[in-house]
Amino acid sequence: MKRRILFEKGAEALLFACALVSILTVVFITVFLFQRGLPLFAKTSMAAFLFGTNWEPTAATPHYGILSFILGSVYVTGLSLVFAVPVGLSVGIYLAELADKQASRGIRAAVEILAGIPSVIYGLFGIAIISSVTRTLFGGSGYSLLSASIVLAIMTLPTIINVTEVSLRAVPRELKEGSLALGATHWQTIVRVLVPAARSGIIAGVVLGMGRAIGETMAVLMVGGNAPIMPSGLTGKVRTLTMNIITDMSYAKGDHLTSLFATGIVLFVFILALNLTVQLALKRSISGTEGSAGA
Amino acid sequence: MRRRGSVARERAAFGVIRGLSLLTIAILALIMGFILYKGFRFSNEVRGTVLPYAERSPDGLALVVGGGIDLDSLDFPVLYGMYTDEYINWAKISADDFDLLPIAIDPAKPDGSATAKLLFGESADPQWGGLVKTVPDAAAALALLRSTPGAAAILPVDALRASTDTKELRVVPIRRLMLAANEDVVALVDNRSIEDLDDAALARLMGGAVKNWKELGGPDLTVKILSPPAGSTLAAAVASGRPLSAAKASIAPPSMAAYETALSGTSGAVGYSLAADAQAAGLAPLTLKTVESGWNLTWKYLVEAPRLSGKVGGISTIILNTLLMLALTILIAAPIGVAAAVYLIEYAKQGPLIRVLRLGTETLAGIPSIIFGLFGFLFFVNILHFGFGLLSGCLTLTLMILPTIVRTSEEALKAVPRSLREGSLALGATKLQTVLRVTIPAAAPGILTGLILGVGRAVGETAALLFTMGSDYKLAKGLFSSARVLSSHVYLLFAEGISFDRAFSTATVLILVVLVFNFAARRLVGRMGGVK
Repeated sequence: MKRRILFEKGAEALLFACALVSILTVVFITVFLFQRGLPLFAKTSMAAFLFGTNWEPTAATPHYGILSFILGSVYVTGLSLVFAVPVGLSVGIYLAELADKQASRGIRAAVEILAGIPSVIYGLFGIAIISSVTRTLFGGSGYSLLSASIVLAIMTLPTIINVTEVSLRAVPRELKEGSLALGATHWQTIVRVLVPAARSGIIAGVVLGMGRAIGETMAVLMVGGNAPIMPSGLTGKVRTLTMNIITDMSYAKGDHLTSLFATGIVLFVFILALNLTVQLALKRSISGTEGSAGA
Repeated sequence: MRRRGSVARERAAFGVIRGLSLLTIAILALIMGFILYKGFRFSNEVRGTVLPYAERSPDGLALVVGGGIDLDSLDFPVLYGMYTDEYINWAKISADDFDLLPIAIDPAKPDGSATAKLLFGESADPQWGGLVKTVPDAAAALALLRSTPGAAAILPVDALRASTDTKELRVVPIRRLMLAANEDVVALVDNRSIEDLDDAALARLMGGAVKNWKELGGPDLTVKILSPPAGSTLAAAVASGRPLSAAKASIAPPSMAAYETALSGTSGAVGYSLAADAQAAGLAPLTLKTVESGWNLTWKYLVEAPRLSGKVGGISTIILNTLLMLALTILIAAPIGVAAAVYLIEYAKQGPLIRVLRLGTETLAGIPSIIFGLFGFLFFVNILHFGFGLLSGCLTLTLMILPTIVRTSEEALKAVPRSLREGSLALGATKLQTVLRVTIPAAAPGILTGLILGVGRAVGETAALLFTMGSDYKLAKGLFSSARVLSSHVYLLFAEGISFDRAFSTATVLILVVLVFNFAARRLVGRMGGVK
């Protein structure tokens, strides 16, 4: 009997150990990233790193300024949201409020498949279609901030759609019925009652999408142009933080490699901030299943 | 009145919303359709100077290669390149992995001088490449052809016919007819020059329908078509290229020399020419554009091993590497993920601990793959000294897909009714027995869905793998050997500028794999009773 209890205890300990893997990984990632990245600031000041626009890691006197990449990431992500949010919101509203069963099944399947398409495939598609379309319409090389944002918008769409729909469905029925009973039309109910009530959930979805977009690597790498310069407008080439890491990883050594880990830290801090925002926003909006909404 | 207006506005708003929803389906259809189409078919506009009609030996010479070379026909510029050291390997010519050995009969012999004429025309100074092996006669060339896998020889057809054993050899027709024009025709006048001719323009031009070069974007000159002198090699070549429209000639010089002089000397003149002659005589070739198309994703592509960075061969080892990677990842990730979910649902007590554990999973889910790549590179590759290899890559992937597996398994376990557990416990089973024999089996479809979703994510991952798993396209020999998988192959084919068509073929295979996983997950979810 005693052995059995010991065995049960042992099993519970093992399960606990497995449950610890996630949080330990987060801790390990944080520790290692900072441990490898921070030594850079012994060589160059943090201000020069964050606000410098000169990226010459292999020059005789190397410069590690990543401002252009930070701005690149911000611009690309922001612009992608400009495209994705109106569409995502509309589709979410359509799925939650308007669609009949058949239509919603089709759209949901499409959204699910879109969410599952690997980013290299988005990249290939971006090169072949989106780049050439933007090249024809707006000029430039086609490998630009605009192309990267459009590809990212398509990629973040599923996240925004899913969270919007879930948040709208979580709005208590009474609110909707009350509004309709007061004589408001369906449209007025959606715009004045449902969307405001689901606001924090929707914002969480948008922020979640923002996190996806800012961390995306392959697709933007393939269509963004990847020139280590200040982004010079919609049709100019752009390099984001993620692109900077993956481009230089293949040959970086010494301080250069350290600077890439430091770039990783900046990206990581961005992502953590966004994640915390999501968690807070979701906690405020609805309790229960919403955690898995973005998956 | 206002009411009606607002009704119309609402209708319009709903219309826009519906339209945007349909847009998502349209985007998906566009992406899938485009990738699948480009993956299965290739269709590229090719610009060149030779006409797309292969001919067989109008001057009694033929290009002969070993049976191992997969080649149906050849453009003259490539043949020229073979004999002038531009190519040293068959890879760029026929996608075969042999070193090239061009053979020619000694130019001092009569057969040899014909070969020189085929390649270099009447040029006084033939530029033979250093690779070219000269042999005294056709018999020696044939012997060398049979013994060397990458050999190619230009031989008299008669010698070939006389030879008893030509089974292992292959005669390759050469495309060497082109359209040569007078220099005034191709000159840049007023920033305008003649357009590249497609099949239709070519047919119109040589059929006599085009009167002035202006109609083809060229200078204001009358088109004068020359017909090759009867009995010349050129005339035989034109006659053997059956699809050519009969040229409506306005000038017919009596000899080849006169023909060439007329071509270069008459303003607006155009006529057929053999590539070597045109090159020697310095005639200006017209650029033709043709659309080459064919099957991209063939059975051969799936079952052959890649060679030369994927330029040649197929993707069999890459598919196998992908399967190995998925199996290994699921082997590591499934027990950890399910165990973590079991702990969170069945064992953990509500409190700060469980909140911290959940926060860990949520945070991990939001970390982008490039950061996982950095971490894997640091921790598995460098600190644990696993090196670039399957194990490092799979461990990195495990961490990435863990949140998906944990969260889906948690949901599945939550959905198992309390009564099942209580019944089991009441029968005297211990907690662990209940979990293993009752709860997990009951939650199996949901857990499986999570695993499939996780694998679906893993198979498309690239950024995290490039610097943890390496990119060797050979079959992985062990846990520590570098391995390239489908997604990284797609990226590298593009990034190393190897082949866009091949990148699309590989992408198609990848997308089909992802769809299979997606479909499997949906079927499972459907079986669970419509839970979204």
